[in-house]
Amino acid sequence: MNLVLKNWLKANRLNLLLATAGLAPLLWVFGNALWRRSAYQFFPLALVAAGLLAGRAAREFSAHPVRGKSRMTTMLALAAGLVFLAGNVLWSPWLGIFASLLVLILFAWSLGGGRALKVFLPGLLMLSSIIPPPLGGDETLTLWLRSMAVVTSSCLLDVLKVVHTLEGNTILLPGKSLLVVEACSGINSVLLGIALCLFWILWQRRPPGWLLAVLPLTCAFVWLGNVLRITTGAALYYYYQIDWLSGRAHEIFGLALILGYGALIWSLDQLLAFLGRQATSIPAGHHDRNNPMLPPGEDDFSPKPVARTNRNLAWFLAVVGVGFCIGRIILGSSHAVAPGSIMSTPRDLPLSLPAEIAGWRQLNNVPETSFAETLGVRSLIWRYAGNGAELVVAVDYPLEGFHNVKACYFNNGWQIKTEEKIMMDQGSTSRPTFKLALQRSICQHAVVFHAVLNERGEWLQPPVHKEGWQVRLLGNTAPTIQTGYRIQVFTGAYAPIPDNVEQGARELFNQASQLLRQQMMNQFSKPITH
Amino acid sequence: MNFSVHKINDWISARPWPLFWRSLPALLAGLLLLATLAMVGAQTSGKNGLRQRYQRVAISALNSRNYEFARVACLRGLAFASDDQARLLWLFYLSIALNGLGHPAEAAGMLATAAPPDHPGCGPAHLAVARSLLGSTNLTPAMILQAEKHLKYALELDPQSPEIKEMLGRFYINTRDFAKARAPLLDIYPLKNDVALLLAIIENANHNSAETRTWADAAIDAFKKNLRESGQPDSQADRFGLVRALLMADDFDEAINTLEAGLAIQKEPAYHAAIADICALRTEKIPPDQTGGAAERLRLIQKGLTHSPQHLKLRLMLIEAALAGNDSAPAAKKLLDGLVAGADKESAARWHFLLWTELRIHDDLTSARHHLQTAYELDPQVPVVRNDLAMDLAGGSPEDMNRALKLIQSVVEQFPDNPGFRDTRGRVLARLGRNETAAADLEFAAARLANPAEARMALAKVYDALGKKQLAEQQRRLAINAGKPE
Repeated sequence: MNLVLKNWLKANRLNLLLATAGLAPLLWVFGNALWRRSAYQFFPLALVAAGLLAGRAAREFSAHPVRGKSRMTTMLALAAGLVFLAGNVLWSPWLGIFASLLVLILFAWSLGGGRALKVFLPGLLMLSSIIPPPLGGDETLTLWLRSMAVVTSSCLLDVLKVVHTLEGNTILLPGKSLLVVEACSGINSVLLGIALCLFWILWQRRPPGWLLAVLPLTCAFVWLGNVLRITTGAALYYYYQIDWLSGRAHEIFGLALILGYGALIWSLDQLLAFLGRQATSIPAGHHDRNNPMLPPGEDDFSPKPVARTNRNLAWFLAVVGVGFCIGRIILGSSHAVAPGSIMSTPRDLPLSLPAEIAGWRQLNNVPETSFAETLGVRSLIWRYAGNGAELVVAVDYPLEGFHNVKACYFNNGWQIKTEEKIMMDQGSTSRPTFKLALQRSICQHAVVFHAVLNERGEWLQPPVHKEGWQVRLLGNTAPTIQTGYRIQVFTGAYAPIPDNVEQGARELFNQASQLLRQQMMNQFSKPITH
Repeated sequence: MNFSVHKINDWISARPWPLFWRSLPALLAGLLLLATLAMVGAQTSGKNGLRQRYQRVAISALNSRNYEFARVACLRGLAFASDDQARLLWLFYLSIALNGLGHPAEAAGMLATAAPPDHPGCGPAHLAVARSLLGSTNLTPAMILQAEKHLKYALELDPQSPEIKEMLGRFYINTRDFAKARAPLLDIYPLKNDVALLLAIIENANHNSAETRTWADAAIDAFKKNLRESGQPDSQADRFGLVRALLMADDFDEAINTLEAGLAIQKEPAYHAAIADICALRTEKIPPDQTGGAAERLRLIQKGLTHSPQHLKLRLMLIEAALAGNDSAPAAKKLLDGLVAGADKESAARWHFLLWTELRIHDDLTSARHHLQTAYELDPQVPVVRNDLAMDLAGGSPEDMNRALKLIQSVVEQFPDNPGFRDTRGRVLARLGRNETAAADLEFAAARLANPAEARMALAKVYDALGKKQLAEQQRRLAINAGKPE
């Protein structure tokens, strides 16, 4: 690191400390929220990559700090301050990370103006790759990618003469259902691929225009890889009863694909180099004065003095950030800052239901356990028969607070015909229960009763969702960090569910949920042992 | 042009070729991507072929009883269904699959959607419902009407279908509505010559002997042609069709020859039974007093019993012939003795029981009882033997009556709802003076027997013994009425 940068860091160490202290609470919440989304769990690697790029920029940075244009500095500081304030008032992690980015831009600007910003731009770009797009763009991309993966796999399965059908995001084979979860749909790999691609292009100092070709192609290859994974998995099961879409084989295949994507990114880079360069062209790493991505020469830069703006902003960040954090803790929103129990390893709940309940007879002696998502959400399943029908009782956990099960059924191709809230009496209290009437492919009908409770035994209500782009822009203003345990009863048939069956299912749900709640409360009162 | 070629050459020669090998994976991945997109595009545009393929898969899976396979194929087919008819057809197939997977209630509901009872739905579904109704036991008039409706809906949806018209024709023949049966069968005769047999049946029912003969001859030609051109070593359906046509033309010998030709190809038990039936039928038509008639009857009886030794009618005919007292009686007796001696215990027991029945009719009670006793000794488990033995013992000493009661009690325990056995027990109990319990059995039997006259008379006596004169009188009146011809 050169002297200029050392002096700048020394002069701004208090500002950096204050800014870090102020930004820390929101960044912590942002990090927690990001970790809970499997698609973004690569973010620590992205932070390391950003650090590497910033470190290289710092080593190559050889100018003296100059006094930047005060108007630009003021605007950046104001923007950062306002966004940060809004983030704290609304408790929006997204605004918090955006404010952090603005602060970093401001510091880079104060270090050496526009040129310093250009030097550190690769690191900033790498950092921005972990910020989810506003207005739920990533969610839209997730849904689109998942449906495209399923539909494309279905077409390829038709080419392979595999008899199958689609039920939402589930590929139904004779004797087996393949739920295409988010991980399989490719969203995780796409975002990781984008980050890998970005890092490689930035690290190799390629022309920015290359990103226009490499990024879309990377996304395409990742999508293709996942489609082939789903297709070959389904075909192998269909023809040879080999299941490599679950368990260790699934993980190994996923890792192999990621390594493959890395190799393809490198190969794409070589292809563009082959197409775009002359045989005697300048190798990567050489400073090109005209390329704004490359660090400038020593004599193109002059150092800048520390600005008062930095200090004011740093104090503002510290006071606001720490103040709001303490305020939230004191006013009882401690769970908004403290890491929730969902972050810890979910406990195994040894639950059981009687052989006969509400006139229904249990078909399996021990509950089946399945994992619906790679996040580790597990389901304990009991099957019952009676009233000429069969139904399923399930306990799904851990969930993030109240989780409406209709989303899961929608992803499996079910249409929600009606949804109603029922208050079921439970001794001196009443329990909010939700009843869904579902239909799929014109001949399949189902009824679901479900309710969610937390570790205090309280039955949860769904959060009040406000509509509008502002809400989607800001994200969850009050992230719920409590673990939800959902109890549901599902009965389905190839005909409308008769009234007596529905009544029986409701009564079964009533009794089963009381029994299960009691067992859970007994478990929750014991310490977690692993 | 030359300039462009030069440019291209210059460009190619300026490439850093060592990098090309490293870019191969990306190139191959790109080609794979394009190939995938091309396949997806081709599949998307070839929906028709895919729909037909799934229909074949579903039908094949249903035929081979792979119902889970069929279910998935049907669900996929439903996704392709572009109109109501297609959707109903898939629902029909799905209902068969669900039924096979053990969901009969859901299958029935789905079938009712595919074949609604009050308007046309899906042709094959209507046909299936009609077949199911007509194949039921205890067919009620309402079920027959429903079946007719479904057949008519099926015909409305596919007016040219030979299968539906034939089924409709058969339906009307079975329900004896011959006038309605003729039209659909005449329609399909040019396409399906073997329906000539059904037309012959219609004409026979209408007592048009000339027309019957004409159609029978046409049926004979049609079935012979089918047998020749079936491509298989033997076609049971066509062979039996030919036999029926020959019987309608009173050509019994040719009918038997046809069945024997079938036996030469495959050892089919149904052919043996059919030959025996034809022998019995032919035997009935030969008057015993016709010149050579008795010998011909005996020949046919022997032939029939060779093919089906257990044939009840032929056995009775043989016994009759042995007891006839004509020239053939000794030969018949010899044949009878040989068959009885060569039969196993169960079969011999049945022979003796039949002899008991026939000798009773001939008033040779001593011999008859001997045969009944022999039948019981050979096979004590036969219910009718025990029943008749109990009836016979009931007229003897008190010791015999108790033995009779013991015998009939075991039979009734085995078959508590059989009116004939309850009738026997009632009479035995009446003989023993246990009139209350006797009355219960006799009342049960009288209410269920096809010909309850004797049971009512016995019941009347029991009521008399019980001092219930009015009831006794009532039973006597009912007995008299029951004994009158309709």
